[in-house]
Amino acid sequence: MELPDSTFTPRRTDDIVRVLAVTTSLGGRTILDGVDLAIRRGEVFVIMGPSGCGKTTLLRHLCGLLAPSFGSVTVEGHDIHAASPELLHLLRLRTGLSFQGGALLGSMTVLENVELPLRENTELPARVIRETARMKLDMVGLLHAADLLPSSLSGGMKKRAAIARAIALDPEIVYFDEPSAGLDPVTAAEVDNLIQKLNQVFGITMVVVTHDLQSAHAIADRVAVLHEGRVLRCGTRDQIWADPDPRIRAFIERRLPVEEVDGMDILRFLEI
Amino acid sequence: MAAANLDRSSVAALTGDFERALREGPERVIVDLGAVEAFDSAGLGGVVAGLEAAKARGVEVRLRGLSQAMLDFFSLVSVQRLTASAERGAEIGPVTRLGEFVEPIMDGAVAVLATAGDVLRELVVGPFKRRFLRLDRTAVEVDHCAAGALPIIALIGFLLGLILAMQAYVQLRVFGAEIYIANMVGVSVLAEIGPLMTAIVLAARSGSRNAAQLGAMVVGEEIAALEQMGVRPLRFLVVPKVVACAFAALALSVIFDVIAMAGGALFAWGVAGIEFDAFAQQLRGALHASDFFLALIKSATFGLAVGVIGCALGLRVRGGSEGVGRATTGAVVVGIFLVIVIDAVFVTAQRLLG
Ligand SMILES: Nc1ncnc2c1ncn2[C@@H]1O[C@H](COP(=O)(O)OP(=O)(O)OP(=O)(O)O)[C@@H](O)[C@H]1O
Ligand SMILES: [Mg+2]
Repeated sequence: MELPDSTFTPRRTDDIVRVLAVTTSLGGRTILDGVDLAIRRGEVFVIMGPSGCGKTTLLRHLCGLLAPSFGSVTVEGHDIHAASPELLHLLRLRTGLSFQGGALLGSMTVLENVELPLRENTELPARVIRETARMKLDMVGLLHAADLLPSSLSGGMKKRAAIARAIALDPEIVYFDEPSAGLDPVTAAEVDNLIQKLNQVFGITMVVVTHDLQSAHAIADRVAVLHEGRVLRCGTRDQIWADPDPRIRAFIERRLPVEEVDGMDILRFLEI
Repeated sequence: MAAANLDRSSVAALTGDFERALREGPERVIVDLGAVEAFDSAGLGGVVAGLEAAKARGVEVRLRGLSQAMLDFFSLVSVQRLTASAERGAEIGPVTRLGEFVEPIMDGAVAVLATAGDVLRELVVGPFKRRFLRLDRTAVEVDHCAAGALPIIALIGFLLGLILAMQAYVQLRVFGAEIYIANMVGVSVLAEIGPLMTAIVLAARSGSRNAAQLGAMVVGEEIAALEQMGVRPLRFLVVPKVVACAFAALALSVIFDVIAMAGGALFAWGVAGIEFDAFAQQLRGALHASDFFLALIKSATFGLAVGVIGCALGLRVRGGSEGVGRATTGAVVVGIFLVIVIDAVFVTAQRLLG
């Protein structure tokens, strides 16, 4: 069994994650087109952008699940897509990912799902693993559902179980893919609160993809706005919220961007 | 051309008229929708289809008399985008078509070989890196592959034993050589029918299950989640499944052999009046230990093949439930086909070597 911290040396940098010119083509389409980002140690970094602009794809690059067609992702000073399997494994143990759809293992109960990363990657006694996992479930308010199978959870419960699993190993950095989408306002606020608490208490770096402006405003230290495969703007929350760019204003004020009203091209076919 | 309504019920007739008008090869067609009282999406879909058809033929179309409601509807869509596809339409050549047929097969074959290589490497090299077979996971799989298949294997074995004995009896009775039922049943079951039937049952039950299960896990991102948690799907899922399949093939074929021979003996006793002792004596003379070992090796190879194919096809599922269905079918069809191919290789090698 590999033990987490024995051989791993994070290279001390202020930026825990650096994304350099990441470009991705899937199925012949360019999804990401030269994305540059730097995520600082210990911050809550929010990635916003319209649906289908490649946020989930970007998270998969950041976790080393999908290699970009071009560009590099550096986590703790190590290029994650050029890492040896052993190094990649160690880097992964230091990161958690809560998937957009939960991605819980359907053949295991919620508790077993949360226990899994602990059981597979540590030598802790079963009792300790169990209580640690139950603790994480309690943090997301799912202790009562510990023995249910994922198929009998609601969408929001799945999401919270996925968050519990993502933080099971006390990672250095946690990625959340739309943690509050599909949750009621109160539960969404609880998740926001959890993200902030974990960030403040343990200093975990949080990278949150979200559409939810309210929650983005509540938790973000810094924000990046993706648009058509590029980073349109990256800055502190207040900078972004005060940005004059019409596309960002449109997003933040939830209105239709002016140039988007391109539907009236039927006019070209009218007889004048 | 005007109808009071431009909707689901009238649109087919209208587009028919329009296409006929296009076929006469005009330079320009004017469509007057002024008389339309009510419309629905299908009706306006017909209009867009007409625009598309006209664009493909290079005919200019002008619309006349659109109501405000229609304009509002069209403000939600872009005719430009909708008719963009009319410009393309490159002919697909025979080479491309052949490529489209062959490529997935090649990809599949490469994936199966790669998975086989990964599994063997994990089994052989893994222990040196202190990565041993996951017994807990393997036990779960064995329980399904082997224990779950016992009833059907026993049933098929018994019936086939009876059938083979019956076939042999019809032939041998002519020569008064009924005792040779034992030879015919014993040799054919041990050498061919036992390993083949267990492999086929295994492909149908477990190969399909493995492909469907892993495929659904790919679709649900469970595989990605495992990788992300530092759990290698190869060691956690694939190797246990393949080992379980090999073990199941081995164990089930032995059980099949025993039950089939018992079925043959029962028939010989009941119909031909051959005592069990005599039947067993005859069997011992007909079968050799080397045949037995060869059959075991063959069965284990079949099991490995079925296991690897199911897992490999399941792991390369793309595109939702459709992909899972295709992988499941592939696991059974390719699995059985490959089992037959391997069988042919075994028989040929056996003949060549002695
Ligand atoms: N495997 C794939 N093959 C082809 N295209 C893909 C694939 N995965 C994603 N895409 C495309 O990439 C684009 C970005 O997808 P992605 O899931 O990253 O979007 P997203 O920003 O997370 O959207 P949402 O906010 O709706 O979750 C989409 O247009 C999608 O169609
Ligand atoms: Mg997404």
